[in-house]
Amino acid sequence: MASVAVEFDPHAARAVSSARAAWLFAGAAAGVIVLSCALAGFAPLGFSIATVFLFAGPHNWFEARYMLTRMPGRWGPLAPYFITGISGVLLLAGAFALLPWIGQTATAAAWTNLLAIWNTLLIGWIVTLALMRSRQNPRRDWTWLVPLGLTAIALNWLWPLALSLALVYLHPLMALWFLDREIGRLQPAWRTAYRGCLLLVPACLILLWWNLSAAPNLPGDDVLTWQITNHAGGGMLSGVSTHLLVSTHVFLEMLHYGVWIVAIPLVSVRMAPWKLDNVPLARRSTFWRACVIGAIATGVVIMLVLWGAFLADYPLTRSVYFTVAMLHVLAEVPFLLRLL
Amino acid sequence: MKWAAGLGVVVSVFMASAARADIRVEPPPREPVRISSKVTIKHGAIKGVDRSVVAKLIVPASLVHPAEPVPPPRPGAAPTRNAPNAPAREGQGAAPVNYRTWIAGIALSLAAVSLVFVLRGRSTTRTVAATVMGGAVLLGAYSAVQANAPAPPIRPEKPAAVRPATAPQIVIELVDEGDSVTLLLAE
Repeated sequence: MASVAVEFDPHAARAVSSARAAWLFAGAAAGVIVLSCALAGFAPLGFSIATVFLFAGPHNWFEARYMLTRMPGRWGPLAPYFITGISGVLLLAGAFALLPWIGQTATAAAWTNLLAIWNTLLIGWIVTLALMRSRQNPRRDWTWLVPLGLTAIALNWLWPLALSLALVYLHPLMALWFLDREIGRLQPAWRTAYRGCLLLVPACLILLWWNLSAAPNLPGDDVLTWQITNHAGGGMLSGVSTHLLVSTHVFLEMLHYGVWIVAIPLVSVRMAPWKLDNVPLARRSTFWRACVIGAIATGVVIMLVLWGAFLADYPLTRSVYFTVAMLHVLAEVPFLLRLL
Repeated sequence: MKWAAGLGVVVSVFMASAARADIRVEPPPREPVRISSKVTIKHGAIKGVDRSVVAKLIVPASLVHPAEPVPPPRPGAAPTRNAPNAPAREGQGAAPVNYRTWIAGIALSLAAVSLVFVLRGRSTTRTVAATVMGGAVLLGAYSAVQANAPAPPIRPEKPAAVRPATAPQIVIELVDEGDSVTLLLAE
């Protein structure tokens, strides 16, 4: 019946094609989720090392490329919003990079206070951006974010490390939110299938926690193992198996990489990353086009340098990378708010 | 406006009793800390103790300061302070400073006040205000009942097992000075 409809009705043909593409997309997404869960559960350390080596650089590059498509060519009335966003990203990322240096000399209490101050600035920046965004079209009533943000600040001052750990686990989920908004905007026929796939994520997490809640801690007391377990909160949640923590974290991290490297380019960018037809800034002037080309080329060079550095000294590069990576974590905030 | 003002007063009064803002935040449970140290073994008389004491362990206080839990990393990066197994620095393990609780209390109070302003003028204010006020009244009543409740009965402790007088014992003494452990064995 479908083939008859295709022959006579171009709308039906598109519908059939779109439905087929949606199920193909959902099948691939489900496969990635299940495979990531299995690898994260069975080989958390190896999977973490491999995923960061392979995907850390490229996912930043693809993310930057996506942001170029979403950045308006001329800011106009949006200028205060983007200036607040970009300056916040640079200042917060710079302050974050200084924290480990300060930590070398500060006492534990002073360092914890600095972390709480940084978290407070982060929350304040996010709420400010959200309130600015709420006055843009489509207008939103987001004043409730003020009491929510103040409550988050209060909790942060009581448990600063808990908020930091929450960010570690929530950041990968932001990518899924981005993808949901982009699918809703550009491929609405895929949304049901995508949201169905998302149900697999909590199912996989429950499966991981069920199997690993009593698992012994991951073996190894080398610097790299310590980095990976500490990244997942092993130094803080002393009563929880580091196997469970690392598996959970690397599972979510892999989904995050998958979204930025495969799904977003497929759904949203929809052209080769080096083509600039969908980059508004590149259409502004020749100068801006050269800047955009330069930025994309610099991204490629950084990616290659990062791979080389990983091969030369993996633990050191991992440590430096995850400090600098705060830039992309923060940069997602203004763009996600613009999508809501 | 009356609703908003009333809500603010009720929430402020009852949350104050429930917030327990002056309670010290307990640090997270710590892993056992293993410390290696130089040791001096001496033989001699142990003065001022029972005859059953066969040894005395003198430990400098600087060795037993608990290490701070290692801070977690960020989505990307961990603002790490210590390398694994690094010794604790001066100031680690100090009691949490109360002003963190004060700042939290101020932020929480501002959150409550701003919530009043957010709810004011909304069509759903009455419903939300009634819900919040009902919750606050219940919470306040619960807090009041708890505050006036008699102290829980103290469970009688099991009598300690009688130790034979001849069982060997060891005295552990913490001293402020020194950087090595001394084991004094009774002659």
